[in-house]
Amino acid sequence: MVSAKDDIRRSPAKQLMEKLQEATIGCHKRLESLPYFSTLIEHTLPLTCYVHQLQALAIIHGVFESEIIVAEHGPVRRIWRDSMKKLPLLLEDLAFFRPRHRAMHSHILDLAGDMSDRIRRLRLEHPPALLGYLYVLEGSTLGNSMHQPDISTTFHLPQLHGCRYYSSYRQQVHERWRDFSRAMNDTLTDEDSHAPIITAALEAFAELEKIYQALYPLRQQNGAPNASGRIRQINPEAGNHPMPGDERETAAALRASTRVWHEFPYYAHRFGERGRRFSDSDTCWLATLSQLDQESVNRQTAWLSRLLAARGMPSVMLEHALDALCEELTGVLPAARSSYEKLGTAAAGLRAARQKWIPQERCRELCEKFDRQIGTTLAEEHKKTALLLVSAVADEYNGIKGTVARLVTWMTEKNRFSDLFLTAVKKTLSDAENIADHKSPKE
Amino acid sequence: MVDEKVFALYLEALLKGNRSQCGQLVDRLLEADIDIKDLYTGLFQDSLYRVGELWENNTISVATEHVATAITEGLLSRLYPRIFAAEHCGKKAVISCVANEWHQIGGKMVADIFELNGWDTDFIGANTPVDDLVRHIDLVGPDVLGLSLSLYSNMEVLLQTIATIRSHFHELHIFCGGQAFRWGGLEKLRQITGTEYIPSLHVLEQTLVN
Repeated sequence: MVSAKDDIRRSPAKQLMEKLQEATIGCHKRLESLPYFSTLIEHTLPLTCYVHQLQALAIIHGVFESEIIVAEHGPVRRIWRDSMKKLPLLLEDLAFFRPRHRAMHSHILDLAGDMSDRIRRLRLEHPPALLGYLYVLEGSTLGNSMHQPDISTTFHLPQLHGCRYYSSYRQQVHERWRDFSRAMNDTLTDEDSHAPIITAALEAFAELEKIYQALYPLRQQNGAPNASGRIRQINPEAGNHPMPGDERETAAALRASTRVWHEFPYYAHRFGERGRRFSDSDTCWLATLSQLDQESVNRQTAWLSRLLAARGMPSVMLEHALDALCEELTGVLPAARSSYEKLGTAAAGLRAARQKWIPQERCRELCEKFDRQIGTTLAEEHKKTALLLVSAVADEYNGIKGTVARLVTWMTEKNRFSDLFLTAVKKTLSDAENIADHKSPKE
Repeated sequence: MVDEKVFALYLEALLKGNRSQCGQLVDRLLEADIDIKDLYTGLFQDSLYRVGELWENNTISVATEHVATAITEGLLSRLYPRIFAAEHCGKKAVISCVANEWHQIGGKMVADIFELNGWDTDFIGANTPVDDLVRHIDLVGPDVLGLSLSLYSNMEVLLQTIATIRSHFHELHIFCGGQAFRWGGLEKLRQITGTEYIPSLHVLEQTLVN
C-alpha cells in the first residue's frame, strides 16, 4: 500500500515512464513518419520489405530475449516476463512466408546485427540499460496493434497467419502496457537510475530508425551477407561464429542437420524447434572446421562433443552429424574431398572412443533387444533410443560426467513414456553399464 | 593465500548468487591484509575457472554463470582504488577480447594485474573487431598486447587476429591466455614469433615482475 508520505515524496518528481515518453516522443514520431509506415498505411508496401522486417526483428528479439534472462540486475529480473517474448511469434510469421521468401538482405542483416551487438554489450556493461530497449520493444506492441489490419489487408493474410507478431497480446495490448508501465515505475523509483535507461531507449529508437529507413525503399543488395548475417538468418539466437564461405556448403550443412534430426527423433521430442535451429547453426560451424588441420578438427569436435553430451546429447549424435556432413559436403564439392574427410576422421575418432567401452557387435545386440522389447510402433517413433543410451554410458566412461543422468532423467519421465518403454530403458542402461564395467579399453 | 575453507564458502555463495556474502568474505580477506594479487589469483580466478567447468559440464546454467561473473565484476570494481594507486612504470598495455568473444572478465582481470604492476592499461573489452584493435594499437602504441580467449571455438579467430596484428606491428609483444587453451592451440601459438602464452594471472604477475 502506498502511504501519503510516499505520495508526497514522489509527487514533485516525474516517474520513469513519463520521462521515457517525453524523451522519446520525437523519435517515435520520426519513426512513424518513415516511408516504410506511410506505404504500409497506403497498403502499397512490398511483401519482401515486410518479410525483411520480420527477419530483422527476429534477430534483434532473439538476442535481446536470450540476454535479458541472464542479466544480473534485480529490477530487470522483476520487470521481465517470459510472456513478453516475441521471437516465437516472429518465427511463426517467418515460417508462414518461408516457401516464397527465405533470402535476407545483407545490409538489413548487418544493421540488425549491429543492434544485437549493442544489446549484448549493454548486458555486459550496464544491464539496467536493457530496460530502455525493453521500453521501446514493448511500446512497439501498441503501434503494431494499430498496423495489424493494414498488414492483413495489404498482404491478403488469412486471419492472423503471417502477422502474429503484429497482433501480439491481441485484445490485452493496452492492459499489458499499463502493467508494464506500473512495473517500471514501481520498480525504478530511484531517479539516479533513470538516465541510462532513457539513453538506451533513445539508442534503441536510433537503431530501429536505421533499419526502417533501409527497409523501404529497399536498396539493391551489394554482395552476399557476411558470415554473422548468414548465421543469424539460420538461427537468430546463435552467436557470431564462422560460417561456410560457399553457399553450397551451407546448403549441404543444413541437409546434414536435417538427416540427423530425422535419424534421432529424440532431438525433436526433447529440444523442439529451438533445438533444430541450433542444430542447423552448429552444423554450419562444423562445416567450417574442414579448413583446419586434422588435429584442430579433432580437438574442436572433442570440445563440442563434451559440451553437448553434458546437455543430454550423447556423442553419437555429433558422430553421425560429422559423417552426414562429410558425405553431403563431398557430394556437392568433390574436389575438396580431402578437406571434408577430416570431418569423417573426427567422427571415426568419436566412434572409436565409444566402441572401446561397448564394441559395435554388443551395441547392435542391445539396440535390437531394446526395439524388440518396446515393439515396432514405439521403436519407429523413438528410433535409435538404445544407441543413445549406449553412447551415453560410453561417454560417462570416457570421463564426461553426468551424461547418463542428463539423458535418462528425461527418458524415464513417467508422464512421457509407458512402463514398457521405461523398463526397456533401464534394462538397456544396466546391460550397457555391465559391458563397460567388464571392458578393458584398448589403449 | 586464500584458505581452502574460505574458497569453498566463497564459491558456494557465488553459485547461489549471494552477492553480499561474497562481498563480506572479500572484505574479511582485505581486513586480514591479503595481497590483492593473491585475491585475484586464489579467489577470483580460481572460482571463475570452477564456474566455467561447471557450465561446461552443465552442472550450472548459463544464468548462474552470468550471475557469478557479474558478482565478480562488482567485487573487482571495489578494489579499483587500490589497483590504480600503484606507482606508474611508464609502460603501456592494451588488453582485449577477439571478435565474437563475449567473455570479458578474464581480460579485465589481466588488465588489473598490469595496472597493479604500474602499467598504463587500456582494456577494450568484449567482441573487438580486428580493424578496431589495429586502430587502437596504432593510437596508443603499447609495449604489450594481451588477448583473452574463453571459448575454444574462437581459437581460429584468435590466430587470425594475431596474424593481422603481426602484419601491422612486427615487433609488438603479444600475450595470450584464457580457458580456451585448456583444449589446445598452444602449438600454433608458439609458432608465431613474439607471442607468449600466459597460463594464469600468477604467471602474468611473475612475468611482469621479472
